[in-house]
Amino acid sequence: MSVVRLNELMDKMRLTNLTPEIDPSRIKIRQPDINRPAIQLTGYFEHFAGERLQICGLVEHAYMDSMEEARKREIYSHLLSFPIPAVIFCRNLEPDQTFLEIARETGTAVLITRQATSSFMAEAIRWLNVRLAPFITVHGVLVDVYGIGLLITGESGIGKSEAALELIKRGHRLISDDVVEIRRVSEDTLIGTAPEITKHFIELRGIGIINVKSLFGVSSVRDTQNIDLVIELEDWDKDKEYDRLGVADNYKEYLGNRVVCHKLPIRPGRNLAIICEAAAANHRQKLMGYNAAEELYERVNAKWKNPQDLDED
Amino acid sequence: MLKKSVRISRADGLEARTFAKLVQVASKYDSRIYMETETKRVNAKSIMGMMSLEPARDEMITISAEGADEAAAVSEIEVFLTAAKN
Repeated sequence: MSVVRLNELMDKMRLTNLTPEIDPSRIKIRQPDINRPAIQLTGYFEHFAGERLQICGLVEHAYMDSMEEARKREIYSHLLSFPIPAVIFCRNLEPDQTFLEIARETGTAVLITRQATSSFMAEAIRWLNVRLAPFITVHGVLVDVYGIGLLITGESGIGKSEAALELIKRGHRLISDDVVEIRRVSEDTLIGTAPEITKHFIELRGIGIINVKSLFGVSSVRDTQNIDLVIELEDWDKDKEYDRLGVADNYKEYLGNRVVCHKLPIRPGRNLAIICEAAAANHRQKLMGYNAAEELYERVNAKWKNPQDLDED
Repeated sequence: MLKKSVRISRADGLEARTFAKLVQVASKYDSRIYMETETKRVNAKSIMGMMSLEPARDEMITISAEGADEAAAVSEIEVFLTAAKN
């Protein structure tokens, strides 16, 4: 399971630690949700999501200011007894000494930022969602073809990297060769990246490792791309039926999200790169609302029903 | 499908060249072979995949193989990962 350490969040969001005796690299954040503890400060702790980051803005700070000292001690002790990874104060509103004292006792990190509460929350949730998204690695090549993220899969040695190389030579961009890390950031978005260690490299059997970025330039690579279309390469099987029209889409599932998938039979003489390019362009056209297979289907049907209509054209 | 967990105890560790050799060992077999650490699962016949596994010394790796020659594949890889010398 993915984990973000608090110091990573602090670096990303430029947070200052008000409890320096607590080491943020030892605190783990496991979920991207956050909570604003306004209602908990009034003493209502039913349904409290005490394992989330707690964000305090103007409202919480003003309410804390209005509390009696004894009440503060009672509420803060209760609030900070939950396994909260950190309490973050926005707009540079510093918490009172009682709060800091109890936080030190319970070992809860207290952080502060200059940013306004809503925009801080929006960015923190977005970033944590990406970092904590469910994650798998798949064996394949990810290329950006006309802005469509094309994942080419298939057995070792079937020619994925060669297809990718030709696509790059035709002006498309490589995200990752051989290993693609896929993160599910929402119900309809999968994001692919390369492992840091093999980024920009392609392995060509017989030649070895080549660096695409230094050979073909910065415009030939890209760091991340959505996964919009999958092409599965396989050896041509005479007895198998391949899609001839493309009216109904087939899908491949990754982390519970479905992606359109074409099975592509390999035969000597088939130019894979051009087929991949055509598949990506056709996918784009479908997204824009036109489906060539459907139009052909309709033309055939119309002719069948009213043979003269078409003849007169 | 055959699975086996192995602790990497190879004397010379797992540097780039060793990975290349390991990929060649795996590629001899027809079975589909995967290697897994706690966070990643990669095809053992893919050099880039194996490099990105970044296993630490003494880390546990799970080898899984599926196919006619799975038993031979798993045992040869196990020997490779735990070999005292090259």
